[in-house]
Amino acid sequence: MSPYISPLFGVAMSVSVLLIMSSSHWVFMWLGLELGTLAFVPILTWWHSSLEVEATVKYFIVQAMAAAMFFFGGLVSTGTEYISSLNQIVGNTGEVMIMLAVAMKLGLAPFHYWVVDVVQGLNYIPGMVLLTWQKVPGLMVLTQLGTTYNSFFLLTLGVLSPLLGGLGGLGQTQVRKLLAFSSNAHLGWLVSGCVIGSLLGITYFALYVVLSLPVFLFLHLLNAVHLNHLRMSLMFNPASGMLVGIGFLSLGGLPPFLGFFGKWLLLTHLVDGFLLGLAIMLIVGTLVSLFYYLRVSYLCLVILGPQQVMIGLSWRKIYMTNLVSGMVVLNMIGLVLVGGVSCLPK
Amino acid sequence: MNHLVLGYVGLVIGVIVTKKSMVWRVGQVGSVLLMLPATVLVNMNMTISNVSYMMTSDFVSLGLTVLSIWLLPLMLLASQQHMVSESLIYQRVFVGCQVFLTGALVLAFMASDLLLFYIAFESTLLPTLMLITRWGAQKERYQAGTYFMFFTLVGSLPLLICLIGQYQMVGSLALDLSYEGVFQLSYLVNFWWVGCILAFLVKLPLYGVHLWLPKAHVEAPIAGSMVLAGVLLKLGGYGMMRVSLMWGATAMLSSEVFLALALWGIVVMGGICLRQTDLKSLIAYSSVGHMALVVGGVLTGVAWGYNGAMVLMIAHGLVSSCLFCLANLWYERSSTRNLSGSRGLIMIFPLISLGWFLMSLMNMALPPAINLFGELVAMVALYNWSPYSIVYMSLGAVLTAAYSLYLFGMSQWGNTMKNYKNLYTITSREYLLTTLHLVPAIYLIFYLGLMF
Repeated sequence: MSPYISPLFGVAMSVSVLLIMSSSHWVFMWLGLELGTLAFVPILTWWHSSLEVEATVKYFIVQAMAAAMFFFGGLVSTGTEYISSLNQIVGNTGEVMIMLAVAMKLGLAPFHYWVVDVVQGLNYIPGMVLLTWQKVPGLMVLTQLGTTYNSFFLLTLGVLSPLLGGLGGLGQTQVRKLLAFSSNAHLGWLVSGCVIGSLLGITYFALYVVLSLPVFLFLHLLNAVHLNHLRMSLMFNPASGMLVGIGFLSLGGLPPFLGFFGKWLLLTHLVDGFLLGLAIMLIVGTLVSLFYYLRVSYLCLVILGPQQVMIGLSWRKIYMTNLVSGMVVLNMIGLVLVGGVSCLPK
Repeated sequence: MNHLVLGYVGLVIGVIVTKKSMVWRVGQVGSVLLMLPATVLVNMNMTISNVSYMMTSDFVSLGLTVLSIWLLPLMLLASQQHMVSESLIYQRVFVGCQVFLTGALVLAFMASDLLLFYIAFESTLLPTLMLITRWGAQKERYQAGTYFMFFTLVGSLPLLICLIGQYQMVGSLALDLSYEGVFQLSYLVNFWWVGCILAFLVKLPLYGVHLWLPKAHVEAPIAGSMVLAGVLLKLGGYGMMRVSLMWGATAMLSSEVFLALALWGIVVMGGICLRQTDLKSLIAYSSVGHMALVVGGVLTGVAWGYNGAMVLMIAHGLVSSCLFCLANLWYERSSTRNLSGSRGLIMIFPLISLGWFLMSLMNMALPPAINLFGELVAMVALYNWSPYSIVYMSLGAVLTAAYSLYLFGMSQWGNTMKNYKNLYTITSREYLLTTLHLVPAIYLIFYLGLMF
C-alpha cells in the first residue's frame, strides 16, 4: 500500500469524530461510526502479517455487527416513536439496542473479549490508536445518550468493566493483552464519568491518553511482547524500563502519580451524587487490576538479573525522548501541578 | 513549613545528580542540615503554630515530625554497609527513595488538610515498596511487598470515600477544626467512623489486620525496617488521633470492637513473640503488641489516652528502630538472624550488648524509661474505660517483660557458637548509630513535656 494514502485514513477518522460530535440525528452518528471503522481497517493491516489480518477480521466483524445493531435500534426508535434525535429518545427498545451497540463498539464489559484478541494481534502503535483514538466516536455517542434517564443500564456496564478488566488481567503474561484489560478497566471509570457529566468523561479520557501513550510508546521501543521481556529491560535500557514501570503504576492510580487525579475527580462527583455503591464497586475493580500493574512494575523496577547494570542512565539515547519522557515526567509531577493550579486564586 | 518539604525535594534531586563519590555524603549532610528548620518546631508547644500555606504543626504532629526527621540520617547511616557493593545508579535510587519517603512523612504529619494528608499517606507507600521489594534479601520479598501494598490500599480507599463524603457534607477537611455536632447522631456515623479509621488500624496495625507487618519487616533491608517500625506505623496512630479529635465523641460509638481487638492483641502478640526464632520477626511482632496499646489509648477518646499513645509512639519509634539496627548489625556479620544461631554475643561484642541491654529494658517498659510512662498513662485511660481491661493489660505487661528478657537472654547469654571465626569488629559508625538512638530515648525521660 502506498504510504501516501495514510493521511486519507487519518482525515477520515477525524471526520468521523467531527460528524458524530456535530450531529444529533442517529443516521449521521451511524455514518460517523462506520466511517471511523472503515478508515481504521487498512491501518490495522498495514504490515500484512497473518496475526494482523486475523485481528483485523475480528475487529471488522464485531464492528459491523454493532453498527447493524445501531442502525436497527435507530430504525426501531424512529419507527415506533417518530424520534430521530438521539438525545430525545427516552427509554424504548431502540435506545437499549443503541446502547448495547455502542458498548460492543467500545468493548465495554460483557463485550470486551474482542478487544483483548484484537490488541494481541496488533503492533503497539495500531493497538495504541485502537485503545485511545478509536474510543472517541463511541464515547461521543455515549455523552449524548448518557443524559437520558436510562443511565442505570450504562452505569451497570460501567461497574462491570473494571471488575472484569481486573479479573481478566490477573493471569496474563502477554503485555498487550494486559494493556487491553487495563484499558477495559479504565473504560468503566470513563463511562461512569460520561453518565454523570460528559465533561468528566472527557477529562478522564484525556488523562487516560496522557497516562497510556508513554507506556505504549516505550513498550514499542522495548519491543516487549511477553512480560519476561520487561524483566530484561532494566539491563539494556534502564531509563525506559523504569519509565514503563512508573507509567504502569500511574495507570494503576497510585497517589504520587497523575493517575490518582482521575480517580479522585470521579470519586468526588460520584459521592456528590450519592452513588456510594458505584464508587465502592469501581474501587474494588481498580484494586484487583492494581495487582497486575504492581506485578508489571515489579518486573520493570524491582527484579534484578544476575548481572549488575553496566550502563548509566542514557536519557539522551532514547529516541522519541522529548515528547514521551515529557509525558512520563507529567505522570510524576502531574498531581502537584493539578493541586497547584486548583489552589490558584480564582 | 513548606520550605522543609521543599528541602527534601531538593535533597532527592541533589542525590540523583551529584557526583559519584558524594552520593552518601550529600544525603547524610543534607538530612542533618534539614534538622535545622525542624528545631523551630520544638519551641512551639501545645499551640497551633507555624501556619503556612496548607501546612501547620501543633502538639500532635510535633513529636512525630521531629522523629521522622531524626530517623533519616540514621537510616542512611545504618544501610551504608550493605549498599557498597551495589552499582552507582542503584545507590542513588536507594538514597533518593529514603529522602523522598521522609519528605512525604513530614508532609503527612504537617498537612493542615485531611486530603493532603491522605495523598502524603499514600505517597509513602511507593518508596517503602521499593525499599522492601528491591533491596530485601530473599525472594519472598515480592510477596511481602504485595501484602504490604494491598493491606494498606484496601484499608485506605474507604478512607478516601469517607473524606470526600465529609467534604461534600461539611464543606471542609481542615484538621484543626472541631466538627462535633455537625452530623446528627445516627447509625450512619458509625459506618463513616469505621471507614475513616480502617486505614489507620491497618497501618498501625491492629491485631487481626497485622499479617503484612512481620512479613514486611523480615524481608525489608535495615533502612526499610527502621522507617517502618520508627515512623510509618505511627502514621496510623497520628491519623486516628486526628480523625477522632475532629469528631470527638460523636463518632466514637463503635470503638468498642476495636478496643477489644486491641486488648486481645496485646496478650496474643506477647505469646507469639515468646515462640519466635527469628530476631527481626520477634521485634516486628513486639511492635504489633505495643501498637495495640496505642490503639487502646486513642480509642478511649480521653486526654490521658492521647497523651499516653503519643509518648508510647515516640518511645517505640526510637526503641524498635534501635533494636532492628542491633539485629541487623549482627546479621551483617553472621548472615543469620536465627536466635539459636546467635547466642552469647556478649562474649563477642561486649560494648554493643550494653545497647541490647538498655533497649530490651526500654522495650519491656522498665522505669524510668519513657515507654513506661506512655504505657502507664494509656493503661489508666483504658482502665477508666473498663476496669476489666486490667486483666489483659497486666497479662500483656508480664508477657512483654518475658519476651524482652527472652530476646536479651537468648542473644547475649550462653555459649558462643564455635563456627564464628572471622567476625569483623563493630565500627564507630555502628556505635554512633546506636548512640544516636539511645541519647534521645534517655533524654526524653527528663523532658516529657516535649511530647505532650
